[in-house]
Amino acid sequence: MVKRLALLLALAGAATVGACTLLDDDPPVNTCKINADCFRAQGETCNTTTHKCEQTVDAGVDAP
Amino acid sequence: MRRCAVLLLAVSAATASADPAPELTKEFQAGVDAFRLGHFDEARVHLEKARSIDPKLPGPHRFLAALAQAQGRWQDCLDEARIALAANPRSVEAADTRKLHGDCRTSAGRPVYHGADLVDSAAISVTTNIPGATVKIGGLTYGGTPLEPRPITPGKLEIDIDKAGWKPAHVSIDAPGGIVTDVAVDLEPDPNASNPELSGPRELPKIGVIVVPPGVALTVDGKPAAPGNVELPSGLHEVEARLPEHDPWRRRVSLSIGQKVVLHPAFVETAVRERDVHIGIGLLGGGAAFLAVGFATALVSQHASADAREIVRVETLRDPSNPGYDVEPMHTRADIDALRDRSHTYGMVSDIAIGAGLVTAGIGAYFLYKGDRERTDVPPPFAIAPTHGGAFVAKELRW
Repeated sequence: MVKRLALLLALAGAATVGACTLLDDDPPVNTCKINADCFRAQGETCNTTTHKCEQTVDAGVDAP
Repeated sequence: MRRCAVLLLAVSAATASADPAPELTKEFQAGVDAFRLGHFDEARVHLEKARSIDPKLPGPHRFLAALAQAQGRWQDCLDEARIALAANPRSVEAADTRKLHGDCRTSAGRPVYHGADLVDSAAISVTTNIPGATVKIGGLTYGGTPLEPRPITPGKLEIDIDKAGWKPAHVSIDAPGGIVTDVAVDLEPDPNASNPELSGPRELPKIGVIVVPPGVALTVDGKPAAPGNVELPSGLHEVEARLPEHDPWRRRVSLSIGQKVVLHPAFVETAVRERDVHIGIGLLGGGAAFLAVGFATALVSQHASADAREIVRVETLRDPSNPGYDVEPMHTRADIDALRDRSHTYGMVSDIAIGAGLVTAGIGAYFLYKGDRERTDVPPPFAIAPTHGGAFVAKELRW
């Protein structure tokens, strides 16, 4: 009886862990609304049309 | 509650009879006072005197019914309440008297009425010493005994009770409205009955027969018995049959008088059952391994996802106008994409592994259940056996 109860609990625990992985947040994707949402230090700006961060051609760290 | 009823009854008794004889009033009042004081024997003497002076007056009957209830004399309670209701069915106390009657019926263990409230309608219940007798009321068949309380038109009722092998009985009753009338009839054996089997249970042997195929070791109620025809007294018996290299087969058998029960033991080969147990344990272990892999890969996936979120947070906050903004480490979109791929890959592996683990463990649990040996620490299940009018089938699930 104890063995079966332990088995049942183990299965329930594993199912719970499995369910938790489904609820986990996905990794972030490249979306933005304003420039502050992008990696400005790496020369990115927000393309308000596509709502994606894009590299600006002359926006390197040494750009004026 | 009883005090309330007593008070109401007292008021009713005082007002209902406008001009009773002085002696009756004296005895009745003395009986009511003694009842209220809890002197039940004294109250009974006075109330019975009052009843004998004017038997048609409902008041003494109501109090005698209440007194009988207090003393646990249920049949007296029922009789007196019925007389009180018959004496004045329109009395303002009729509802309380009907309730008193119902309470006494319940206390007496009579079958409970489950129908709609009886206001003007009557109800009847018929029982006989031999169950299964046919009940006809006014020539119409109402069913077999015991006849549960059911509504019926109040008034005079002609009841015929009939059962093969027994003398028919005829009863005339008066069923007043608002209460259940109980009719109990003792049928007598008919000495002229043609079929001796139908002349009553006293003439039937008080044994039954359990038939078990030869070749098995048999114990009945813990005592060894030879297979074949085993004659036993009626009642519940525990049968255990054994065959070499097989699990014992245990069943409970409910045996009626004169009944012949044929048992077909379904033996389970011990080696086959134990093989199922081994398969079940193996699958359960495999399922546990899958689940462990699923758990580990889920952790890797979650960490990769968390790292990607952290990179986005740090790189978004890095301000190029702030001195020291380019302090290492600096992560690019390529790093985030790599972490995202890693998270997706391990997440998928985790989902597949957990799904496979649950399925495998479920199949393993099924094999374990299938290979489970019948428990010996609880009463065995009932054997399926034909009964009069059908068959009894039972299935027990236990964990």
